[in-house]
Amino acid sequence: MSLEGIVTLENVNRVYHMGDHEIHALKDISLSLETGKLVVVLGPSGSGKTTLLNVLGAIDKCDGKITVNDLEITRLGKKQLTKYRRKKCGFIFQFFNLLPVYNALENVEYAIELATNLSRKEVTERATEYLRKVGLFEKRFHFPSQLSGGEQQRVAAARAMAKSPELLLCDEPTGELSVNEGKKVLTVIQNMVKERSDVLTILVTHNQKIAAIGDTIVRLRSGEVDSIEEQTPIPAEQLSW
Amino acid sequence: MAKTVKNIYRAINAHKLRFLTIALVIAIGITSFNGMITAFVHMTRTYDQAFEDHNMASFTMQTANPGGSGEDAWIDYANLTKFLNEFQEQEPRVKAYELRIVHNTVFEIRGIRQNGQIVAMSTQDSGGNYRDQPDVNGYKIISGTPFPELSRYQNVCLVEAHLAEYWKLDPQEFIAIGDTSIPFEIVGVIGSPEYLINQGSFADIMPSPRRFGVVFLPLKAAQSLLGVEGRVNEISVLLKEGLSKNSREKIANNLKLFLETNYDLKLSESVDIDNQASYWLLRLDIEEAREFGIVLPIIILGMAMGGLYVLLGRMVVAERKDIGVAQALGYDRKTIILQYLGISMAIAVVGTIIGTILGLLFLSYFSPFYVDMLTIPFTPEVTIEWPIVIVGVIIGLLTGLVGGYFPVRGSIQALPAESLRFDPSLHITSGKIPLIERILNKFKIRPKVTGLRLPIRNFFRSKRRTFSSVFAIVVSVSLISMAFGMMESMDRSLTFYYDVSEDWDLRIDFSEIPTNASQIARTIKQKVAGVTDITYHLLSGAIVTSSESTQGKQVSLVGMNDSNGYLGHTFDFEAGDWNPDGIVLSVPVAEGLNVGLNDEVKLELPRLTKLVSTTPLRAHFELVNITFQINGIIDEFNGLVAFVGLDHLVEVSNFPGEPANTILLKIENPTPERLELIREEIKANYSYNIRNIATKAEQRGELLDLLDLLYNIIYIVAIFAVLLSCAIIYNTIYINLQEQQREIATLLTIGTSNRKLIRNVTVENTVITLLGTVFGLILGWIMLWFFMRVILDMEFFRIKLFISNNTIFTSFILTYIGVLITQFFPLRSALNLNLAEATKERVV
Repeated sequence: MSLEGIVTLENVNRVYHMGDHEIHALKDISLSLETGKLVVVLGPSGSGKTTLLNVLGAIDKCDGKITVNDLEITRLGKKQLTKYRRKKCGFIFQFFNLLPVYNALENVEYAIELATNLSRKEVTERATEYLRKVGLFEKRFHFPSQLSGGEQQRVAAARAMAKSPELLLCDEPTGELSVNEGKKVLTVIQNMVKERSDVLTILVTHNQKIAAIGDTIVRLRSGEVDSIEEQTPIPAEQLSW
Repeated sequence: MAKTVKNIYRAINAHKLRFLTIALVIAIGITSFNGMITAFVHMTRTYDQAFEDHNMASFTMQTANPGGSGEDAWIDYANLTKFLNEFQEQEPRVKAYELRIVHNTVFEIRGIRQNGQIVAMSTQDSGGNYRDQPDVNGYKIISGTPFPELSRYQNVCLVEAHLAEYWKLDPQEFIAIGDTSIPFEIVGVIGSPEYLINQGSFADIMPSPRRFGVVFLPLKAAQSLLGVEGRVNEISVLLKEGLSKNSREKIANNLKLFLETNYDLKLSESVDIDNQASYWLLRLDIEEAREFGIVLPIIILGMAMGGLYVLLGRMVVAERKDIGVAQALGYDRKTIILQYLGISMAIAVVGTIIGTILGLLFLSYFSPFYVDMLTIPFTPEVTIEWPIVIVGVIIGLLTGLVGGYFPVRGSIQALPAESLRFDPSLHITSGKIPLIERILNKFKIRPKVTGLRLPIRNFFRSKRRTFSSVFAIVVSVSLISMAFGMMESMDRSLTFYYDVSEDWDLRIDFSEIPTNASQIARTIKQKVAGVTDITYHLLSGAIVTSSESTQGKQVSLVGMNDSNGYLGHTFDFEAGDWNPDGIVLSVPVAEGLNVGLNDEVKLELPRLTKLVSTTPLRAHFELVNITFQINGIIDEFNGLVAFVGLDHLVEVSNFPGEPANTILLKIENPTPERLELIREEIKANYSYNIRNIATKAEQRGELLDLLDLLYNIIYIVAIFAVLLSCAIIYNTIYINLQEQQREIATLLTIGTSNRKLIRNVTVENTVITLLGTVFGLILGWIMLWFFMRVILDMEFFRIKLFISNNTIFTSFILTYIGVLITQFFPLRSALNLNLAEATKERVV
């Protein structure tokens, strides 16, 4: 099987040491995920889903082997990992994590400017385009403090996608949002997945209902893969929870 | 309660280094308070005790012409004893009296002549029995012995400690006294409460042991030396304790009236103990120590309070959600306030304990340090002053209470829900584009979002944050620039005085005033190779008064030929100009007398009434008042100085011939070797009753010795400044980075390199440092003014305030280095953040 366009995890383990205790957050995980899909990682609290996302995003270390489109990130040094995150990963955090000193447009511009060699004009154009896509063109000059949680998360989605990553990593993106706001954010993510067949989107949630928007559901339990299911996703607008 | 204590402990433990730095600042404040105030108490007590133990005279009274040789100069010892006994019977408050000779003369020590004073008293009591101490104005034997029993006709002496220290004189050595250089054997070295501060004549702006010394002689030996057998010229009176100055003056006036009316004696006005030069100067000096002991801790503790306020203010903002949760769980407002107040009080307690312990440990150094600097031969007794310790503890705790209470009180919302909704990272962000960026935008300057725009935005993200960041820099720059400015102002004033204002290379001072000054000057210029120019002046003491002020100012009155070509002084006129018919006053004198240009002042100066001999000049004087018009006001290093035309001074003083007491020489190529050669040549061939020939470097050195205490105080301030700066900057930068921890983690997660992050933080801190430097320099200047003009209010030396470009640069660089060093530690921990956790975390 060709590894092109595929993210693979081979025997990935992550052990946390809490005093004398060892917590196996990930136990011998092996997975192969294709780009162009929305993979929902589902599991209860403590199942290791966020840890899985973190090791894929190279913000946490692990044992084993992770390859993203031929690049074995588990062998990379600190500087290369930074470059990997900059160029290949887009993050959507539970708490939005926008830069409060920048307005919506600047938050998106920051990520594009960092990851690409585009001119200033092109950076602004692309950032504007993505904000339009997430429905925030009118509020592009608003600062995070002037946006609702859902709007902030949509800016975060635009920031993550505008730099054309290979991996879009979403950690409980609706965890802090109301149902309506959450649906809007999920719609944005779903639309982006449709547009970009070269991106693998991994969305971590504990909410069974949200899992319905994914092409693949990876169920985790106590750090192990419980099951992997392929499904036909339903549009996020139709969700209710 | 136990839970609150536990919470306090946890909070402190989590930020121990930051809290420790604030505790350290409090500790420094309390240490300096304890040390300096206790030193003041020790010194005051010690010297009061010394004055009491050694029976310092309540007042002294000299004959009308104590330096002369006529009838009004000396009084018969035996008669005066009878008169005083008679007076004592009438006035029981007179405890004891002493009849002495106090006479200015010349000493020759190791071949070098210098001015000095002999003080002589009887070695016998009224019953004719030997005594080793006089009844009034006693002394402390530091080494050697008192006058031996059979010494009253012998040429033996006791040398005052400053003179002995300067010349390293020991018992058994000899010192030649008087015009005829009669050798006297030193039997002991003494410390005298009368001469705690080396004082000299008031015309001498730089009294130093080399220029003025005191030697005590047995009365008979002094009478024999001066040719005034059986006579004295001073009465020292000790009154019973507890009398007011008014009462003392009344008794002194009664005594004067009694002696003048009944026995036709001629006496000068009495000098009360409060006006005695040494007593008065010492009060000034130790008062200075006390003011420093109050002002310095106030500044330091004020900064500690500010630091606590900022630290807790930002801490409660970061923890407002926790506060909300606590409120929601049922904790009352009082308990929450108590918890945070507990933190600030714990810091204050730690700081106060450390400060108190250090203060007590250093106690035995503070007072002796001052005493050593003042070269006072009475060592203070070091004891723990518990009231001061208690006040120190209260001040330390108040620092914690005030610094902690206000930020905590303000952060607790009435409704817990408000706290629960609170996002601290948004709280520290105004959500506006800063004005400076908007201005730059107008000029089409738009920094990149990944470039300078981020540090600029960070810098202006909230007023409180900007204020506290800049505050730290302002503290640092102001303290450093003030400390350096103090040294620089003094250095510059000295440099200006000696390198610019004073244009001579060698200065010749005469023991006795010659009356052929121009002839001496001509001879030296013609015969000594290398002398390119020569001028001379006549220096006289004078008291200046004006109708605008009740106080008089004692000045050194310089009579000089012309301002052009005068080597002794280049005038820096603040107003007016030189006019030989008028007078030029210094700023402090003019200000003190409340007079200005063209106003008139009166000068009380000695006028010659009877000429005894012309070479050297020996004469009788009376004090006369002459009116002068102010033609110029100068802002000069010498604070208490006035200049008049030489001819005018000679005329009003009624001096014969061409008198001068100083000749100033300009030397071609004045290397130290050459100056030494010329000095030796003049000494060897042209004696002219020369007391001293000094180079400018030597005179400057003497002045520096005199300013030693001040310099040492400034060094202490400088050390405090640097310590405080580091502590406060560390705290602020640490908080700044801690507050941004989630943002930093986010930036790193989305791919910002460490290098870029370091650059952004450094740029932000550089902007903070630059802005803080501007305000810091302004505050530094104000503090410099406050210290130099208010705390160290010296009219003897007029120091022009000055902060050089070097100091500005140094203050910035030192602070900037401090910033870079202190940003290293929190930045290092930020760069090693666990990104997975930090991106999910709320701000600290």
